[in-house]
Amino acid sequence: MNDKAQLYTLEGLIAAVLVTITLLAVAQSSVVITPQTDNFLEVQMKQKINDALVILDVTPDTAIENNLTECVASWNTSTEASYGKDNLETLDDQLEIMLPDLMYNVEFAYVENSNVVVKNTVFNGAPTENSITATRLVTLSNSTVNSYGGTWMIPDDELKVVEVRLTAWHV
Amino acid sequence: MDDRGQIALDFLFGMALFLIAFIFTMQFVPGLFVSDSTDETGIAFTAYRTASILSEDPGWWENSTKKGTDWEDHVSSSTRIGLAVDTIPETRLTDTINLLSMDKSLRFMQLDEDTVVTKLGLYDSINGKHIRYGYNISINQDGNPILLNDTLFVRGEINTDSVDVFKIERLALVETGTFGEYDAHSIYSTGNANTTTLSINGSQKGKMVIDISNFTTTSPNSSFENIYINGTLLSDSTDYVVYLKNSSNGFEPYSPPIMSDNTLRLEIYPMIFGNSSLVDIEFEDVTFAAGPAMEYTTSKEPFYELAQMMVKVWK
Repeated sequence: MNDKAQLYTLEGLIAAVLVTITLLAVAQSSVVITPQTDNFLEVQMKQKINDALVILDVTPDTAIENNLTECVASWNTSTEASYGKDNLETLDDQLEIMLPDLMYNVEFAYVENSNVVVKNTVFNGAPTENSITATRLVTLSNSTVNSYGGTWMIPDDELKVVEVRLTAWHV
Repeated sequence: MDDRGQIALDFLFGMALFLIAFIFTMQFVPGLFVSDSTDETGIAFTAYRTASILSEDPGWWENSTKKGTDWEDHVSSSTRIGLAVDTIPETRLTDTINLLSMDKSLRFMQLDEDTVVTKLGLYDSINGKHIRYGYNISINQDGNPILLNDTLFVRGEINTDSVDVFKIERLALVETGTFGEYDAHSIYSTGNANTTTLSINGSQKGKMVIDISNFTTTSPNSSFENIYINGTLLSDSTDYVVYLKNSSNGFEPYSPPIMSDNTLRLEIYPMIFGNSSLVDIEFEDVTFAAGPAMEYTTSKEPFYELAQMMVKVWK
């Protein structure tokens, strides 16, 4: 009988133990590697800017004078913010109180003549790689626009939906 | 030689090693599937969940016949604790996230430790045994706990040793009192024409905030003077603060004069109201028509202020 290239019981078991240990080591380390604390910081920031938009949207007049709809309605659609030149100060003032240690930009996105238009309304600089965006939809009618002095052109029997995008990052 | 009935030494070694390997494997494999709840990330989830429930959920209670979100009136049968405002307690509406109710918050401060820990899930379950997490929940303004009625909103312990603490901050509008808005032409003076009187029937919870606009001024130097409650003079800044809004600015700390198109806001702190009180607001060179004291209770609505809710959890 030819016994060459055969494994004996002893060697076989040692090999099996080695394979098992290796598998366990690999499986366990790959579970641990996920960087949870980094994720958590992002969750915290996302939560905070989302809160800021929600609060601006639901606030009664007695707590914050200009709510999100009023801020959007009062916007002059022909302007665009650039560095050091805001064009929606009421919104910026409120966000500054709510997000004291963050930098942020605000964009409005809406459909005009079947095109999506995105415009800066509060601009504090270019966001970094780790920036996070929260959004909130605001519905405008002609009467809201008229009472807050914006320049949106909305027919009386139509509504316009504007997406407010708040992008924030740590300095 | 007869070899039958013998066990090779080889086989003995092999069997022993196999058994060792087998036991080793059996012990390690279940460890692979242990959930996150026993390590640090479990605390992070707990902190996140606690903050979300408190700020977004109005809570829930139920017994065999009734149920609703007004758990603050049914603590013993409450199933969930939340602080969000509920306008219709019978429904499960969750459209009032980030608006926190004063009644619920005050009740939350009075709950016993066990209820808070169990209802908010501030514990780890290891082999069926509950191991309590350390926690600290507060609602802050400018870094200090907010005063609701006469209770500081902070509960839990202070973390003394700097072990891993997971904290999450939520922004919220907190109900801190009641608000009433008046046209100076529809509130009256019961004596001196420069003083108007409001009456509070029943108890007043939290701050009392009064906006008055459309003044009848008799000189360019009209000013606000004093507030009396049941004849007692209140002291400025410790008992109340005054703000003024003119046509170009929002509310700013008060400085005279008052113009007829200005709005005056008085924020009177709690603790100084009796059960039914008369509030006299005295001006100079402002006149009110004679008439009965206006009732504050009928025209009030909740008053909210921006604050940060901080939830910290550690082992």
